[in-house]
Amino acid sequence: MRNENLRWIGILIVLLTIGGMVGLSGCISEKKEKDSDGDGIPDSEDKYPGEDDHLYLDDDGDGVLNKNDKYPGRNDTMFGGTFIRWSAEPSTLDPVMSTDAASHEIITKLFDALVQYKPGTTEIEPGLAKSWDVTPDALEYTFYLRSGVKFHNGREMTADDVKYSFDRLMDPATGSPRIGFAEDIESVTVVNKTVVKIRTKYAFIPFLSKIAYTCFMIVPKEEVEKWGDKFAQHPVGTGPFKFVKWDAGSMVVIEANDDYWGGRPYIDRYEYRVYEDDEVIWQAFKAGEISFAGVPSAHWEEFQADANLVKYSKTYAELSTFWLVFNCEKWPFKEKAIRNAVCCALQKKELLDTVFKGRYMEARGPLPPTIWGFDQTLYDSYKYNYDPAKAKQILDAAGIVDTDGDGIREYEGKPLKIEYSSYISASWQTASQTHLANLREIGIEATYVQYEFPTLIGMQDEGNFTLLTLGWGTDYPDPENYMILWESKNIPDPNGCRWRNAEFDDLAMRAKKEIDVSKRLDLYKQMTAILMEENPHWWYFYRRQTRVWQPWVHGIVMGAQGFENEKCLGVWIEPGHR
Amino acid sequence: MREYILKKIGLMFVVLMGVYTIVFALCVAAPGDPARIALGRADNPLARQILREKWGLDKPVIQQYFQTLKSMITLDFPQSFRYRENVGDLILSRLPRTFFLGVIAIGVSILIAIPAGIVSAYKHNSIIDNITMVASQIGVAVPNFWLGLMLIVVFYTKLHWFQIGAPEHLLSLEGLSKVALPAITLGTGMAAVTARLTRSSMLEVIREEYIMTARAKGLSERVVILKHAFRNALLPVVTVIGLQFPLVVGGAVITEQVFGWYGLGQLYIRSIAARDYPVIVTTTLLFTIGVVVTNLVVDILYTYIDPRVKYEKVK
Repeated sequence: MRNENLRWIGILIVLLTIGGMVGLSGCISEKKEKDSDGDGIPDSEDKYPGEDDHLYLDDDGDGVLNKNDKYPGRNDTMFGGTFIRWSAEPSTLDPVMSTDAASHEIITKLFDALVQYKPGTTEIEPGLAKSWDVTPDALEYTFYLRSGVKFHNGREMTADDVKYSFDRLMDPATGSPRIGFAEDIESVTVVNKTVVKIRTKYAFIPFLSKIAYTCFMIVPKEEVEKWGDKFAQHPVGTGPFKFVKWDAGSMVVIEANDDYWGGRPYIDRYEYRVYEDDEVIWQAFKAGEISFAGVPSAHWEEFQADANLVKYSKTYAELSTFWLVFNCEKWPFKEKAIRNAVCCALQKKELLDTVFKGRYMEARGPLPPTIWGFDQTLYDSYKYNYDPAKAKQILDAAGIVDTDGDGIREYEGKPLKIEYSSYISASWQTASQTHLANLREIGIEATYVQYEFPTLIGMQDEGNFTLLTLGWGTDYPDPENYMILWESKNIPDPNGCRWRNAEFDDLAMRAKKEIDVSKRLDLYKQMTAILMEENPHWWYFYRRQTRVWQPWVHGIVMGAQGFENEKCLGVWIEPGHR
Repeated sequence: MREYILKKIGLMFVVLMGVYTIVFALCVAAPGDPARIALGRADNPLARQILREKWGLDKPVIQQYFQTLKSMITLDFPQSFRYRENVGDLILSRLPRTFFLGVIAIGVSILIAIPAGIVSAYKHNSIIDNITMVASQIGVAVPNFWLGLMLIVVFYTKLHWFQIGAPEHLLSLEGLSKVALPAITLGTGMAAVTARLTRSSMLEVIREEYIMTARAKGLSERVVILKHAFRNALLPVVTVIGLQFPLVVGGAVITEQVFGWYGLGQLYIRSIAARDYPVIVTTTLLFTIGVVVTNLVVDILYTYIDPRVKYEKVK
């Protein structure tokens, strides 16, 4: 036995010696290859002795040698030009104060958040935080920040800035209209220069989606304190673009940030000019004055007939739903049978195909198809589609009949005469004429009245309405941001329909905290099913937007959240149009 | 004259108080909560409460009335609800644009109306007279916004002769190129009224005996018409030009919107929609001052046009 062991040890020593000699010979032969200029290329292959040969390569394939490449990793031939956009005037460029889309569009380019959406999607990707950990109970998030990210004033962004920005949002003294977004945040703690912890009061699964929003974007303390209320007119962030100027009522100009951590944008300038008339914006686009525009309804047929316009366009479904809101607290729509009957009575698809020119998709429930949680099976199984005969049956079965022969049914002793209130819109007004006839057919008399939008909102807040037109678009792409509209605790705002359902409330509470994705999905399915049976709203349409751009503009990407949310890093303009 | 001016200024303050009270009452009575509107989809009870406290909307109406009045008198303007900027700074940033547009528009209207009115009167019942009168009827009948859109389609989109939008600098080639179409839109409607009045005023004067005398004395027709007839016909024309100032203001609101010439008019419209009370009240008072001052300037101009006009008290 002892001899056997010695034999194996001997074999092992031999093998190791052979292996060592092979390795050593390799090193010796490598050492034998000389590299005088230290560029990693042996002298025998060195094309440019005394110089780093890599300077004469083109690593990013843009046709520009590395030695002249101003932006390694980016195609240098695509740089330059001004992207011109005409739209509504922004009200502020301070991230915590923004509530309108126009402000949002520019702020998204000037600032960054800890996380952001992948271009053209609703998926979260790292932003200023390169990674994060979440505790199993989803109460604590630890964010690991990128190093070397600089604000536009040259100072490096640190975890202190994250704490400052979040605290500023949460401080009532700031007066942020978005303070409610931070209601679930308990504390923000700096661990070190690049690590920050955020603790929440309760588990809120869409938390990461939410903090991609503009109000959570990171600002430098010294600039905010220097400018005070005027920081909105002198914004400083870490974003791909830097602020140049804001001529009130005229334009906002931002320029490319050469030191952007995500790579310098291709375009030099982004000019956002204040203009609100859709017709004139369309004319300016056709005249080649602007880079990008929406397609107004009045020119929809013209757009469809022009192959060149269609080629450089995109139609996408928004994260929004439009509907008629029933006042579920008052006569007559406190009665579910009447709500369901009206749902069956009102034409939908025909009006979407004609009045709305086929641009929008028929809605049958609260969630649009672009949002996680939408269920096609549920959508297809909706029971209250246009069917006047069924509408009459529902009312008859509920004992709501025409007792005096005047063609109008009575409910609780009163004839079913209601007001159909709407915000000012030519399309809604045209469509409503059909609806008035639809309602008359089933024995309900309605009068259509238009109100200025603030007035309509006031009516909803006070519950001073019967049936009104409205819509909803999400702030972050999660069904939770829809379902808050029907939670009882949110009456009267945003639960303007004042619908109450204990089962729905319970499901909503569970869904906000449910960590398991499939269980959460199932909860939202159940909630959707309840809404599609109870119908606190009449689900009208999911809106789609169509955007066009000039043939010399490339790299336009947009998803369900629209172009406004994009950072435009990939947008470039052909030479000759710069 | 000095007493007359001082009296007019004194009356102006009375008018301003009346206008302030009416506008304030309308703001308070109008449906819609400014905080709710400002928050939009971000609305939540805490944010709404913070804003209402910040803007003083939680205080009794009477207190708000006097507080706002004090800020108007001391020129210590509050913040705009919508723009979160000092109202004074906001208005000052927009006023030059509206003023520039108004002046150019009135200039355009005078340039069109005066010659047209004079020629029409001189060539009374001729083809030129008929064409001018029909054109002025069309000018009055055509809506501002339609004319503006037509001018945009033809002169901007198709011909590229002019630009639209607000310029960086008013007194520049860009400024002139961009003010041209809105000024023509605004000025054309006013020119129609002024042309008709100039024509009828000139017709009255041309038939006077002193005009016949001037011709008999051998004066040239140009001197007779422009120096003698026109000067005497000018008083009612100056009056109507002065009275058109409110039309400029009102018309500017629509014209600014159509052409993207975002001045005070556009600010005013947006403030009403947003229930931005500080901007609504301040801008309305500013417009009132403008109307009163313009009327005063017109009154003073009378004394230079017609030396017989005096404002001293009759002793």
